[in-house]
Amino acid sequence: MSLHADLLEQARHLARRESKRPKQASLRRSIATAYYALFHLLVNESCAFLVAGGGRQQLRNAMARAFAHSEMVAACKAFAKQSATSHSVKDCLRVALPSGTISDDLRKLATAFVDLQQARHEADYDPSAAFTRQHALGLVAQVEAAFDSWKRIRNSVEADVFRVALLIHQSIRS
Amino acid sequence: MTTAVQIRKKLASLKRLPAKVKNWRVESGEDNTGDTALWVWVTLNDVDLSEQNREGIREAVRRAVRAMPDPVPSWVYVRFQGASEDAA
Repeated sequence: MSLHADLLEQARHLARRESKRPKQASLRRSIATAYYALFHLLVNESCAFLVAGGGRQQLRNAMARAFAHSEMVAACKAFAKQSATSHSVKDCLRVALPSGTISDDLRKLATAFVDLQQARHEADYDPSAAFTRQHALGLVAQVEAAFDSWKRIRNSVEADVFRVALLIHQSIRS
Repeated sequence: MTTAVQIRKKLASLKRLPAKVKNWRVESGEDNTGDTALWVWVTLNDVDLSEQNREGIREAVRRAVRAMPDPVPSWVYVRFQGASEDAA
């Protein structure tokens, strides 16, 4: 299995541990792991597109290290909010979208990334937060749905625009 | 600025949600990127916590908040918990 699939399975496992009273540590690690499952899926898919072909794995590995959480979440917010009347995706990328708008699948995936990154931030850095099993399971299910969305759109032009945006959206000058 | 109380009132009046909401809790603040944000906690009966119901409620909440008078928060985080957890 791939790293992202393994991480998702691990997130599910952690959210279901301790059947009566789940430990906060298990739920916090479940949420963070679910976020990283989605993060690694998108980085892996973007690198495979941007550096295609055999004999280039080391180059793909190098490129993977260029993806920044802050850049990716900014791109995801822009894609999640993009609509016919509200242009949040930078113009030079938006014109590359076949219909000028984005599909529900891409919107859901982008939304899940933003939701999960914030949840991971709270799980890792907010000692006062209390987590419930259903909250963690809900986030894991949201990532599972995002994986399914990606499968449906991964060969589309909008998916390619999104892959590029994850790396450069914030760096593009207006 | 639309207040959390106003938003909670609006959410409580939503019709045709995919599952009955037992309780709404709304908080506002800044998210980890520094954007203004809203956290909406939704309590459902445990048997209603399917991803399909969650997704339908997420969409309905975001649509309702977007339709409120400006300025509205930059992002809405919709979180779920079971009724049995809410009572705990």
